[in-house]
This record gives sequence, C-alpha cells and structure tokens, in this order.
Amino acid sequence: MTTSTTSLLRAVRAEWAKLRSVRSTGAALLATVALVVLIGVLTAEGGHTSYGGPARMDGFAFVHRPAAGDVTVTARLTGQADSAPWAKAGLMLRSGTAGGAPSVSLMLTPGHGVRMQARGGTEELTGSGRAAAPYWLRLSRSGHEVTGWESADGRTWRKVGTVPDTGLPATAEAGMFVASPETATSHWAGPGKVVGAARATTGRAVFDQVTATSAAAAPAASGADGWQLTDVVQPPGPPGTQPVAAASGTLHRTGRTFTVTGSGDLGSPGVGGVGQDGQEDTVASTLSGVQIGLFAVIALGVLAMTSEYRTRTIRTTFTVSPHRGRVLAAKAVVVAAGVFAAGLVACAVSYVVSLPIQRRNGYGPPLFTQRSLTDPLVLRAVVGTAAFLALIALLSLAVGVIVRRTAAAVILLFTVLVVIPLVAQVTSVGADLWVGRTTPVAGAAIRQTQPLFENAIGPWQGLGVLAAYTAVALGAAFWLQRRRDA
Amino acid sequence: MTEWTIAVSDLSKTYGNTVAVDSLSFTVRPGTVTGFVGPNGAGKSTTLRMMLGLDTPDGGSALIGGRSYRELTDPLRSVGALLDAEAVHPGRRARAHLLWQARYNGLPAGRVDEVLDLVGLASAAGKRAGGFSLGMRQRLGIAGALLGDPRVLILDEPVNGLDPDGIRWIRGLLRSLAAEGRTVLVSSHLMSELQDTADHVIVIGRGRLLADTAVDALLAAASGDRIVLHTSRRTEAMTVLAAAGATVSVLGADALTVSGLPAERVAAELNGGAVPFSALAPHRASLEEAYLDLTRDATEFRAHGHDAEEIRP
Amino acid sequence: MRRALHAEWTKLVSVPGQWWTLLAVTGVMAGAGALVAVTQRPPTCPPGGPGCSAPDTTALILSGAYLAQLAVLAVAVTVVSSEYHPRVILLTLAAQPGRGLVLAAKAVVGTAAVLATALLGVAGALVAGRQVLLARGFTGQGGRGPAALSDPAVLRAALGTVLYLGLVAVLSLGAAWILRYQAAAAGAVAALLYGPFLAARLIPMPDRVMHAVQDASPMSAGLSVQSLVPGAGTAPIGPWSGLAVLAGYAVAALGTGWLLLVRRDS
Repeated sequence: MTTSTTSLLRAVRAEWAKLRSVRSTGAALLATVALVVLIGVLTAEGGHTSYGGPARMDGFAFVHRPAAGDVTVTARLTGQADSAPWAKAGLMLRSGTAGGAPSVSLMLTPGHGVRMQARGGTEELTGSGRAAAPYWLRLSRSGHEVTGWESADGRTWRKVGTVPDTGLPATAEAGMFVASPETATSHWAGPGKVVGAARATTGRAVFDQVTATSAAAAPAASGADGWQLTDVVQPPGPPGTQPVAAASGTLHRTGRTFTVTGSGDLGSPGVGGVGQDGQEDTVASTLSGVQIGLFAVIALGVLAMTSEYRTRTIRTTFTVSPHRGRVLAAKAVVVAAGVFAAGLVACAVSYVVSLPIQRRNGYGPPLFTQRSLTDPLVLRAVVGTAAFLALIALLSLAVGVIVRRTAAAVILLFTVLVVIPLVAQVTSVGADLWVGRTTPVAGAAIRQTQPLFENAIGPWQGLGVLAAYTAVALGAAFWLQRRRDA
Repeated sequence: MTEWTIAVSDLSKTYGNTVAVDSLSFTVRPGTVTGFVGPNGAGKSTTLRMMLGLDTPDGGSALIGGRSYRELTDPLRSVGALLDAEAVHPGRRARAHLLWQARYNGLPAGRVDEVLDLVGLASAAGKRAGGFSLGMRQRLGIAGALLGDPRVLILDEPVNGLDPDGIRWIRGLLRSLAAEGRTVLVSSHLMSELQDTADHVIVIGRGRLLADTAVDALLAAASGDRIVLHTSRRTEAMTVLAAAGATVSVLGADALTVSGLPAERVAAELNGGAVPFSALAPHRASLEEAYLDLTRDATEFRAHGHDAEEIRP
Repeated sequence: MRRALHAEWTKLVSVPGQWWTLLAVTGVMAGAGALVAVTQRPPTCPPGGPGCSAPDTTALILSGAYLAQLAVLAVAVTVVSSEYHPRVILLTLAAQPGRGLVLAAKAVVGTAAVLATALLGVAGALVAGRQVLLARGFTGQGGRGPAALSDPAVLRAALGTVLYLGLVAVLSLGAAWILRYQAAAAGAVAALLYGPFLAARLIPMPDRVMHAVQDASPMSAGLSVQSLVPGAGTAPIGPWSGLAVLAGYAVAALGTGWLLLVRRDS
C-alpha cells in the first residue's frame, strides 16, 4: 500500500472517530431515518387510489355463434391494430352475451403477447410473450375443462394452459372478440395539480381461417353460418363512477375473413385500463420523505465542517494533518458513507413498510403491480435515493467549508434546496420545471420509476445535475481551504 | 539524525494594513526551554501559526528540523503543539478528542490513555470537554501536544488558567522535556511566568525581534549598575542624589533605584546630606523588569500615566 | 428606553453583515416579484369557463415573502444571538441591568428595521410585478389584469405582507432569546415556518386535517393575508385572522424569551 493511501485511510479513521464522538451526528442520522420513514408511511396512509371504476372489466365486441357440448374453435389472427398496449383480440367461449357472464378467453395483445383468462380474469395464464399477428389461436372444450393453444404457423401447436372448472353451460357461445381499453391522459392543471382523464380507444383485428367444430350439430342461426356481432356491455361500476363512452363494435366480413372493431376490456383493470403504465409512481411516493429528511442531512454535512470553525478545532486538525486536501477528502468519505448507509436503511424500510399500506389503500394488484425491494427498478430508486442524500451531505459539507458559519450555510442550503423550489412550485409551472431541471433538487428525480407528465427530468440526469453541483462546490472548497489561513 | 531546530528567517505577515510579523528571524535550539515573549498583539500567535503551516507567510520561512511543517509526514511524531486550549468541541469526550488526533498520525489508541494519565486527566477521560475548566482544557491540550512523543514542542500560553499547582507541574514538565534533549518553545505575554522555566528568551514587539538571548545575560544587562536604596526619607534622598548627578527612580514606598553613581558615592552623598537609609545593595532585576525595559517602546496598547516616576538631573 | 433604543440601533448598524441582510429583504421581495411575474402566462381559456380560474396575480408577485422571510429571520436571530457569541450580553446587562428593557429595545429596533426594508421591498414588488405582468399581456379584460395599486384589497395584501415579515422578525427574536444559539434558533424558526407548510403539501391527507394544519401553521395562516381570491390562499382562513395566528406565535415566543431572560442566569 502506498504512503498516501495509508495516510488517507488513517485520515478517514480519524474523521470517523471525530464524527461519531459528537452527539449531533447520531441525532442527525437518526432524524434522517425517522423523517424518511415517517413521511413515507404517512404518504402511504394518506394516499388512496383515485380509480373508482369497476374491479372486473367485461365489455367488448363479440362475434359468436352457439356451440353445444365439446367444441374446438380455431382462428388465425392476421392483423391487430396497436390501439393500446393492452388491446385484446382473440377467441372466447362464453355462457351468454350479458356482461359478467362466465367465460374463457385466449387472446393476443400488442404489448404483452398471448394471454388466457377465465372466471372474470381471476384466472390468468400467459403464453408466448413476444407473439404478434399473424398468429394462430385455438380453444378446445372438453366437458367443463377448456384448453388454450397457440401456434405461429398453424401446424405446431403449443399449449398455453388448461382451465379445469370454467362454469360454462352445455351450450356456450363461441367466437372471436376485440377489446381495447381506455387510456389515461393527464395534464397539468396548475402547480402541483395534475388532472387525469380517461379516453376510449378502438381496437381492430382481422381473423381468417375461423373454424368452430362441435360434436353436436349447431342450431340454425340468423346469419348464413350463424356468426353474429354483439356488444357485450360492461356491468356498471360502483355508484358515482361514470363509464367512458365507447364506440359500438363493428363487423366486416368477406368470405371467411372477419374484420372486427371494438372497445372495452376484460379481466382486471390492472392489466388493461387504469394503472397500465402507472399514473402514480407508487415507488417514488414511498420515498417522498427524503424531501424533509434532507433537513437533517444538511445539518449533518454543514456541522461536520462548521463546528470545527466554531470551536476552532480546525487548527488542531490542520496541525495534526497539514495536508488539507486529505482532511477534506476524509471528511467527505466519512460523511457520504454515513449518510448513504442511513439513507439506505431509511429508504428500504420506508419502501417495505409502505407496501402493505399502499395495498390496503388500493395501490395493489389487480390495479397496480407491487414490486419487491429486490426488483431492479425499485433497487435503483432506493439505492439512488440514498445516494441523493449522500450527495446532499457532500454539497452541505462543501458549502460549510466555503461559508464557514453554521447559520449562514444552513440558510443558504435551505434556500436553494427547499425554499426556491417551493416558491417555484406555488408560482408557476414553467419556473417549477426549470428549477426541477437546473438546480440541485433535480437529484430527487432519482426516485422516479414511472415516466410521468409532471417529472421535470429523468432519474439519472437529475442525479447527474446534483452531482455536478456537488463536484463544483467541493472543488471550490478544496481550493479555498488550501489558500486560506486556518 | 535530524537536528530538531526551529529556524525562523525573515518571516513576514500582513493582515490588510496591519503588519503582524515584520522580517522576524530567530532560532530555537534543542535541549533548552525557550521563552517566546511579547506584549499582546506583538505577533506571537501569528508566528506560531506560520510555524505550524496554518497561516501562509507573506515572506520568509519557518522551518522545523529543516523542513516546513506542511512537508512533515505524521507531524505529531515530530512536533507537538498547543495553540488554543479552548479549541475543543464541547460535545466530545476527552478521550475521543485525543483519539481522532492519534488516528490521523497512525498512533496506537493506547497512547491516548498514556498521555491522559501523564497530564492527570485519566479520571476525566470519559467526560465531555464542554464541562471542563480552563485548567483542564490546558491539560487536555498539552496531552494532545505530547501524543506523538514529539522532539519539538510548541506551546502557546500553556500556563493560562492553571492553578498554582498546575503551574508548578507544567514548569517541571517543560524542564524535564528539555532535559531529554527536546526543543521546547513556550510563548507567554508575561515574562514572570517564564522566570524559573526558560533558559533562553526571544522577545518580540510589533512583529519585530527585540531580544534573542540567554535569560542570565538578559538579567545581567537589565540590572546594569543600578543600586537599590531603602530609606524613609525618599524625597530628600532623591534631591541629594540627583544633585550629585545620579538618575533616581522610585521603586516602592521607601525604596529607590539609583544609577550613574557607584555604591560608595551614594552612601557618601547620603551621609553628607544627613539622609538616613536602612539598606543599600546592588539591584537584581527581575525578568519582568528586563522585559519591560525591552518592550517599553514596542507595546502596542499601552496605558498612559503608569510609567515609573523618574527624576533626571 | 430612548438610550437603550439608541444603543441597540448602534449595535445593529455597526455590523456590516446585518446591513447586507436587511438589503436582501428589500432586494429579494422586489426581485422575486418581478421574476415571478416574468414566469406567468395569461390564461388562454375563456374567462369564467369551466376549470378556468384567473391567477391571483397580487399574491403571486408578493410571493417573494417566502424567500425574504429567511433574510428577516437571519437579521432578527443575529440581533439577539450575537450577544451570546461572544458573550456581549454580560456587557449589555452591565450597562443596562433592566433585562426587559434590553429585550424590548432589541425587539423594537429589529422589527422596525425589518418593517422599513419590507415596506420598500413590497412596494418594489408591486410596482415591478405589475409592470412586468402588463408587458406579459395580462390586460384588464375579464378581470385578468393586475389589480390597481389603489385597490383596497391590494393595499391590504401589501400592508399584510409587510406586517407578516415584521411578525416573522418578532418570532425569530423570541426564538433567539429562548435558544441563544444562532444556528439552533434559525433552524427552529425555519422548521416552524416551512415544516407544516411542506408537510401539508407533501403528505396526502384528508381535507379536514389539511385545513386544520394550514390554519394552525404560522406561515400558511399568515400568508393568507396576501390572497385576493377567496378560497385560493395558503389557508382557509380570513386574511387578518391568519395574520393573528402568526402574531400569536410571535408574541408567545417573545414572551417565553422574556421570561427566560429574566429567570435564567446570563
């Protein structure tokens, strides 16, 4: 080990001994953890999902004919419009055409491959995740049991899964369906106020080579071969909710080619309508406490330096270690490591504790996916937010070196990190975005896991902005400390 | 083997319009206790801070063992310093205050308890420095200076705030450290504090060197040819002696110092004038007097009207 | 009392940092007013239409108060805490043993200095903000132009803002007498002002709870004096009653400070 490495390690140990031997350090770290967790929990407790629509979706365009007994329905989906990532087109066996009736369905989606659903979506199986039209689908019934098959070419079939107890009557309706869920749009109505609105979309799919072979003979029906279009109507949601007006389905038929359009959705709304791309960043909201927790971090970072100036211990420090750059480097390492560790504990605990509360308040399956702490996206937010706090501590340390007085440094940092963002927030959208992009608070963006409209800057870019400010401040601190008389 | 001498040469420092240290040069040698004396504001602390690399000189250099302080690796092992006993974080315990200093220089933690014991703070090791008296803080500061068992000790006003017991203790400590061959530099604004401690003094005033001399020589020079005279008839004695061409100044209620006349002449003149006197002896100046002589013109903040009353022929 | 006032005034003006901070109160109020006005765009939706509310331009151009109060806090806290580091208070109390008088003199001098600079700042913000808003296309149609300076409601908001900053000074003085340490006092007052305000914005809570927090928090309640549009202010409270909430905090802090000063050893 080189001499300078040894010296730096010694300096780090010395600064650690220094930092942990005053009570304010423990108090500040404890306060950081407490504030982050407390506000995380309060945020989770107070947040209720704004989605008040039906929990089960069952409304779409259905082209069907009766099928008695065991039946096998096969079709090739030659095309599907990408009207929404969760648009659905495929085959269905159903006990009737009323909304909410028992059914089994096998479908293709533009964004999520092949899916199979039964019993209102409580039973869900996944097929090939990358499948896209043209694609073959087949449903075959045997008694109460229905099996789904998929194939890219119509010759080699792969089993998607079997649903044993489907609740289908002896004679079911068999056929094709097309659904396309509402997409949510949000717009900024004012500072800190985002208004969401649902918009209906219309899906379109083309089926050919449709066969429905039944053991029993099909009864006579209205069409030439019995196929007819019905709009399955979504059962009403909880009182007070308004369904979004959707266009009626259409059927255009040339020979054995069916072109169907339809709106609506089936299954749980979590895999369709609300929350499909997360209008609310449930991960970020569990970490919102860092905005207040950073007060304690500022105090810790500033005091690590200014307390030396106030007590004039700085002279002892520079006598003991005349290499001033090493002193500041050691302080930076110790402060950043301490705050990072505390921040990591705070963020992880806040996330884990908030999850069940969020679930209880509606932010859970089926509407929202909940990710475990080890999910890469969550890990990035949690670890990144701890890094955000560590950078704030370093920035505070640097400002402490530059300003040398506790009160002045704290007020300065408080102005930049809290008050200016706050003034921008209450006065104008443009200023708020600008502050969120170009000032050190941009670093708080690292906790975002959803590309939301109100995000001012991407997570990594935001952290980069803060890191740049911190680097400049630390550079100035190194330079000044070297030049100044102690 | 490094010769642990402190060599200050042509050192200068200006703050704004104030010249704090003005082309100061002196050398502090090992094996002796060297006093560094000057009135308040003379530039002592500034000089010490420049020696320790805390302030950057505007000119000149201060080298310890031939190197500038900032070049020393693990400086505590070569130089121990006490600049400001009050510079302690009040929330930190005595042991922790020394531990971080030891860590910086790779000294074993056991050394901390040794020096605490040495300065008599072993029982207060676990207490927070905020509750310490000034005397205890001085001892803590001295403990810090001794931490690395250094060859050179630089102590700024170490006697400040110590009780008589503590003063006796630190005198003994400084003498024994010097006797071990270490270089010991002790600053003070009171010469009397150094009377029985320092072998050598460096006196500065207004940033300039006034004297760099052995204590014995300084005392001899200050004593000069003066004579102390005790008489109950002060005024008459002054008149008689002044008429004989002597310079007389008042030393106390019944004491005068006389210079310019040998003792025999003084006795003869007094007898001739029928002025009774009880004692007549050569004057032995105190270090304080010698110092006052030196700094008379260099004192920056001097109260007027307190000069010794003096009659000249 | 006159001598005490004169002495405290001398102390205040003999510290150059205090001058700069006081200047910052004026500068920040006026500067922020103009800057905020620059960021505004006149609403494009039809006036009176659904979801179309005209912005409260008076409150907006006075929003420099959010920032300026930090400078006020710094001045006021320093007036007191500079007595303790170093402990000039011993000299002060030796020269003027009447502790209540010392406290009163500091309160009067500190608050008066803040009121004067705040008055200048608020006037600057109104004038500059109004000019910028007019230039940005906020014109009189549909009640969207900036209200006239002679409008009693505007005068109320302006005067209220000046008083708000004065009361923040009193609150800070009280806190500084209680805590003595500059950083501790500044931190405590900042936490009291911004803490509940931030909490109410950050943490989702039922309206009833949020309104209670806003009504009880010195900053939200106090700044409601700026609001010209009913229901759009920082707290669901009347302008003067909001300022009274802040005054309550300020008087309580100064009273506690006085009690402690009289009872405690200096």
